[in-house]
Amino acid sequence: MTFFQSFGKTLGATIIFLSVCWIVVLIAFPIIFLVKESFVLPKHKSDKTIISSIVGDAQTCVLILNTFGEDKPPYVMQCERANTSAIPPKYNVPLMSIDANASVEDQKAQAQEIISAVQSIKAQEPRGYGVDNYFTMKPITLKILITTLVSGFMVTALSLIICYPVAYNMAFASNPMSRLWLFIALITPYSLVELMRIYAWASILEDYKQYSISVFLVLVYVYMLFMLFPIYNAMTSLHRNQIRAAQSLGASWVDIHRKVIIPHCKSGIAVASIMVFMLSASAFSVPRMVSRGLQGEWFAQTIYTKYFETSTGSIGAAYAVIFTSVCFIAVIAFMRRMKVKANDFTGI
Amino acid sequence: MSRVLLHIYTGIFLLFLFSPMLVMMVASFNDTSPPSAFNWQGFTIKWYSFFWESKEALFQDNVMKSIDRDRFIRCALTSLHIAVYVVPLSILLGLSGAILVTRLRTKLTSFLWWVFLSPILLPGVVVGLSTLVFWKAVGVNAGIFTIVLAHSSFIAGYCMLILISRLDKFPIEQERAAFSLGATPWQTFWRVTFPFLLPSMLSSAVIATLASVENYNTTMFVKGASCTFATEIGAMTKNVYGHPPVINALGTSIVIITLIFAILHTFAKKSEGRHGKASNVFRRS
Repeated sequence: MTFFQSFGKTLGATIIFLSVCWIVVLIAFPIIFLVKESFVLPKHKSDKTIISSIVGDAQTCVLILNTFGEDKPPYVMQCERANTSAIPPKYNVPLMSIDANASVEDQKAQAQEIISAVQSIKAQEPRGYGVDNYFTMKPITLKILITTLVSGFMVTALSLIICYPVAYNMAFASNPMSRLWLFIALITPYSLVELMRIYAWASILEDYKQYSISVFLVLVYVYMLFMLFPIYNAMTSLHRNQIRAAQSLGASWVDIHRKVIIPHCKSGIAVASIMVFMLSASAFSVPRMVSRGLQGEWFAQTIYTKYFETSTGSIGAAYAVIFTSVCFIAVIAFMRRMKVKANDFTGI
Repeated sequence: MSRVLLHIYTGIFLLFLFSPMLVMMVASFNDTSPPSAFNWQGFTIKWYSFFWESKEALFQDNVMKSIDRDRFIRCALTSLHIAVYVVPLSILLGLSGAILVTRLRTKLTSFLWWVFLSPILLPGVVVGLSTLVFWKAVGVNAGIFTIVLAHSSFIAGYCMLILISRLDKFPIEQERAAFSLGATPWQTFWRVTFPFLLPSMLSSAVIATLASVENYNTTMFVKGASCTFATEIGAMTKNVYGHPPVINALGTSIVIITLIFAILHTFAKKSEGRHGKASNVFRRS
């Protein structure tokens, strides 16, 4: 039966409408607006503002000078500020300034000249959009980006090594009763708020917080379930008879893993690795809490601080786009290498 | 021999899994702040009584008088308030996504699956940032509304995964049987498919609540001036002296409650299993 036969026109349309709402309002539009925002140049002082501030300074200078009559004026800040050095060269305004050693009358005349010269400029509004945000990355930020990606990769590898034997144990080597208790044992720590678990580890690893291995360990711990369950699901779909057949044919346990189990579970291992990589590369709270500043910053923290640098967060948006694209490329490269297609994952 | 090694390894693994929890629980009874399980100063339950003591009694203690209990409770209630909106929304969206993916077998389906799951894969900061930018452009400032939407975008993905695995096991013959007996599509859905999915919806509601209350990365961006349970804990831990063991007390209580629920749930499932699964499916009609 087709979709609309099963659900009828109204219900089917409602289901499609809700899904479209989810995709459009919660996923697509935010991403589109984020990318659009990354192209917005942060507002430098517009030329209009510069002009009006010079005019204001010159006018205030004249006002102050008027109170001194013929006496030699002391230092007046506005008179010093009223010069045309801040005006961009494209307007072809000669460099004019007020000479502090001249007489009061001369200074007032100079101020008037500046006002009339500057007010005649037709100011151009700054260009709103451009790709400049993407090239503002300093070398140290690039270093943080690369370090974060490498660390994400190492956390994934560590997590795979730690969780694979446990998944194997759960899938093949235990009876249903102990499997159930193992399930409960795995879920219970996850009832805690993630931050509490991180804090508990932070207090245990108090003496080791300057080594990166401590952050890696905590990340492995926090995202363990994401690594364990896809591999476990993939392993349970492998029939035990295949392993027994391999054993009866004389395969060692290394060969059984390498030639029977791992090729069968390839998509499960791949999806688990992708999830753990994305989650750990974008780790935000864990490095901050475990290392308490003694180790390098991770890239998600950089995005956070850069976001509040401009009023609309465009630089943070650009960094976010860069980071997501790089992670995405890494994931696609990984999937190509493992010869896993996107279609294999549906249904895990 | 390798089997013994495997079990020993699993034992060490479980130790690794439980040690932070045990440390946290032990530290909640220790009379020292910042919390520590190793520097034992004396047994006390004052970190638990923090929640019901009067203001004057709290003021006597050096550590507890600096904690703003009212603010903390207010933030925790905000988290629950947010969860009240997030859970139904996520289940609704997750359900429609799950039905679409399992029933609509076109070339588009696999791509759709990835799109639905993308908020989970994207970094939490990117989800929060994009939600904030979009709604600011539309005119809505950061606050409870943006938090609800940011949470729902990826929690609906979790719900969808749970519902897909349940929906895959749905015996499609029941649907055809209902049609042949003269039911309309809506009646079939409401009386056959929906009750079948109810246990999965319950577990996805639990997971959605937990995921919403504990989320930190995304919430930090979209919260604006408001606060949630997780951001409060995060703010407390930024304190140089660490958070007071009040948090440990809270965590221990949560663990014990969850343990009780899990054990009750297991025994309920076992007694249901004794009567046979088939009889439960048909019990509704």
